[in-house]
Amino acid sequence: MSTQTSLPQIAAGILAYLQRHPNAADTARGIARWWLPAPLGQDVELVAHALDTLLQQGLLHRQVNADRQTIYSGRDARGQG
Amino acid sequence: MTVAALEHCLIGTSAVFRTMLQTLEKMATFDAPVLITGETGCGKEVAARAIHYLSPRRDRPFVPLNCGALPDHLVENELFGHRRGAYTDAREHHPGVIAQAEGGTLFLDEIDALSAKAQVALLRFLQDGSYRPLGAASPTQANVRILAATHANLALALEKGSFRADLHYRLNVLELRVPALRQRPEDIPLLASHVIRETAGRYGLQEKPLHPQSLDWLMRQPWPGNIRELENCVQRAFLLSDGALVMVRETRLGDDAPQPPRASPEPSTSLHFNTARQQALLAFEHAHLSHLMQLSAGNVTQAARLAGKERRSLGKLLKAHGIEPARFRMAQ
Repeated sequence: MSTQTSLPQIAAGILAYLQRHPNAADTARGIARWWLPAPLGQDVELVAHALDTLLQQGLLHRQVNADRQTIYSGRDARGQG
Repeated sequence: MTVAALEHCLIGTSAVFRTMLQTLEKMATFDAPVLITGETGCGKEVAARAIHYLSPRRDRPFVPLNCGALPDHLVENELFGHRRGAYTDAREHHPGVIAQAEGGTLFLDEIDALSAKAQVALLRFLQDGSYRPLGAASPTQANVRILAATHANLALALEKGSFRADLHYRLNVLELRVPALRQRPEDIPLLASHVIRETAGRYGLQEKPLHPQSLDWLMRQPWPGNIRELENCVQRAFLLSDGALVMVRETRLGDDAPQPPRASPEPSTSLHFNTARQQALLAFEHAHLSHLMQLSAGNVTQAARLAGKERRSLGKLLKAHGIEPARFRMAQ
């Protein structure tokens, strides 16, 4: 696991992105690659860990689909459709 | 999404890759379906995300769905969702992937894996953009861009009748062909460096350059698994490398390097003990010196440092074994 970035930094990066794009949603891989700057998104497993932490804090919503992919979105974006 | 994010995800400077990127950028601006084709592991999902994050829909969801991982009986439920009470186990409202992607992009990967029944359901939706969640009283109008991908030969599937021509027309308004890695070998040094940088960052290690001979070998491989296969190969080589340069295992005794005499797997019982020991020692020395030369690309000073020996002493040993450092510099 990376010693370069910490979980709180990644979590802060995710929340900052959602503040600018409150209706965005993607998988952990997409979030790591497209939402976060390179040093924060290097380790997809660490990003997934940060996403789960934010989920436990009630700051995110997730949808696990039948193909086993998990989509994360901001809590306020929930309930569409 | 920034330019840095683009450079981080879409790596390559070859003509074929730049042409693909230019096409991708154009496609991102039109709100039409795109069929992304290319071999396994060549980056179709990366291309799909690039289209989404370069499009006006970038602030909305990107929802990927792997059609190949869906049980056939769940396809409609997964696409359209259901209302509470729609069937016995429907205890609560479940938004399908179309609803999850509302305002954004739905990426249907392995589209060729859809059954005939699932193809009809998807076609119905694509015809007018409306769908009815299971158990819903009225249809819902969707605002979703559809991107689909396949590594299969769809022309053949159409010919065989296993893929509907009318669905193909709907999905294939624009087609993006992602090149195979062997079509752009000149991008391999950049891709390999990127993998090393990411792996070093991930594991808190110091970055190391690839050995020139390994790089040369990487550029000559056919890579049937494309970027994914290259990533695994370089990552493994980087994590297992001990020297100052990353050496891909397959090139340690590469075809261009002088071959050391191999020690017998079992000591010969016909030799006197001291003779057998001397032969084993010589074989070891030769193999080890060749390996040092490969790691240092023929740089005797660097090889001496790696071996913990004085340069002069190592030079004498190389000469005694007939190993010419210049032969290891050929790839530089």
